[in-house]
Amino acid sequence: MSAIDKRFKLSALHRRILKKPIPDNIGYGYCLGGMAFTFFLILAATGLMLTLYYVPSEAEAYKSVQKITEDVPLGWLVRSMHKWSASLFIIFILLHTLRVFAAKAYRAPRELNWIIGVKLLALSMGSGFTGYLLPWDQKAYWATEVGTSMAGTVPFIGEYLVQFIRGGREVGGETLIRFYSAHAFIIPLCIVALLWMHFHIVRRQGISKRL
Amino acid sequence: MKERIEEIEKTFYPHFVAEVVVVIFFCLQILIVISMLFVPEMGRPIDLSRQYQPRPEWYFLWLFELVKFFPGWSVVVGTVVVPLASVLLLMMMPFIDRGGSSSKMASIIFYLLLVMPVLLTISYILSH
Amino acid sequence: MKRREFLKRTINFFVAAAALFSSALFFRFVSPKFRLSSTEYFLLMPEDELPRRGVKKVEFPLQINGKKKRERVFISIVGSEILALSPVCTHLGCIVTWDNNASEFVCPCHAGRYNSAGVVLSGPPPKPLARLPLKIESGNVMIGWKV
Repeated sequence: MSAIDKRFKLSALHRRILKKPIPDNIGYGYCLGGMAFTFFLILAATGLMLTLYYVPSEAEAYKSVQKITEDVPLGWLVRSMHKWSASLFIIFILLHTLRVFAAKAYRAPRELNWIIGVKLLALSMGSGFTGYLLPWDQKAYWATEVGTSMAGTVPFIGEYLVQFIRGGREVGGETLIRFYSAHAFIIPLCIVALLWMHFHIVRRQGISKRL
Repeated sequence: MKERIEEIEKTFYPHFVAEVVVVIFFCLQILIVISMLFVPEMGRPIDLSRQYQPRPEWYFLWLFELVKFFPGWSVVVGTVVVPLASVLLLMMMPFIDRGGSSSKMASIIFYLLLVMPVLLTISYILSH
Repeated sequence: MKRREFLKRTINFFVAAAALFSSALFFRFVSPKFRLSSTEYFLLMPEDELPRRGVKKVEFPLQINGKKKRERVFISIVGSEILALSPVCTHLGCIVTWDNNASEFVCPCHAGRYNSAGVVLSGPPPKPLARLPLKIESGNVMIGWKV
């Protein structure tokens, strides 16, 4: 470690981060957001692993998930971890939101970070919704049928909205690919971008003091 | 002398990182235990002729229950207006709370936004 | 205007234009082709197999754009009328079932109830069950399906 550091001066480069003094009045309530982030990393890692076996097509999706749970070594565990960390991710985001609200830490000058946080919560739930379809089983199909039909209740543009979300008139192969793309690429990229802002703003503004 | 200064001032590394590592380890422990105990089962393959009662993820149960209460033309209130308004209200929190009495107002709105889904989820669980 | 100011504005303009253009492109790319639906007729069953009374669930095969599917429809006899009712709940798209004892359609999702003619009795559905067109052609019942 130190031999590498001597040559590349890595620790000097990150000195500002490594040696940053931290206020000593922060309790364990402050780690809720960090826990949520930990679960996000686990989601990213297990999700990437699942893409190695998952096939997002109408004919193959169910079989490939079956293969992951029954055939692939430890596939059941990776899938289980992905599913459970998604729930824990949402739980910790909610707890983090509660704590931030209770501390009134959304007040000026932190408005923007609060808004980013709400967007992150919404995106995470969207990720959960799109991911729910991917096993392509009864539960997934009907939950998506109901969920996407909700957009159809909007007056005038409802019919168009539903087709936009589903990629067609009915929930089918196009919907599956769309949701896969959203779940595996579009939403995670948005989350990463927003998280980057979220953390940078915290570093700029410092941790909010307790009231 | 130098050592003493380092002891007085806690810095990100190693003081904070040590705690973080412990917390992450703790998270992983919980996750792995839960994942091994409760493995998600495969559902049945899609069969359009079999009627099926869908159940969304737990964090959407409140929405699933909410739409029951808006019949006829008002369906859109439950499906789009209330969820969208909740998110927008949550986002507007910093602008609702301008200090003084508006702070109380913000708290009331926030806890209403919190209680509504909780009650709806309980209502769902009770009716199934 | 100073040169510096001019350059800044040029950059802003091009960045904004590129952002606008690419988001319009993305939006058009993602939204599917809006197809006007037309009604096509498929064979449902021979005329003499039509029920005399009550409600019967009928499954029939159809082929749309070379893709084979099976669809379901409820044949409901109300008075002297033969109705073909879509089993799709008008609330949020679940499949309704026929409850013979109560003689009504029930949606399992949000407890919407319809009578044998598809008219909403209670619950959240905004519209009655969709009626599909039927016609009888040389002894066969044909059903109109939107494709």
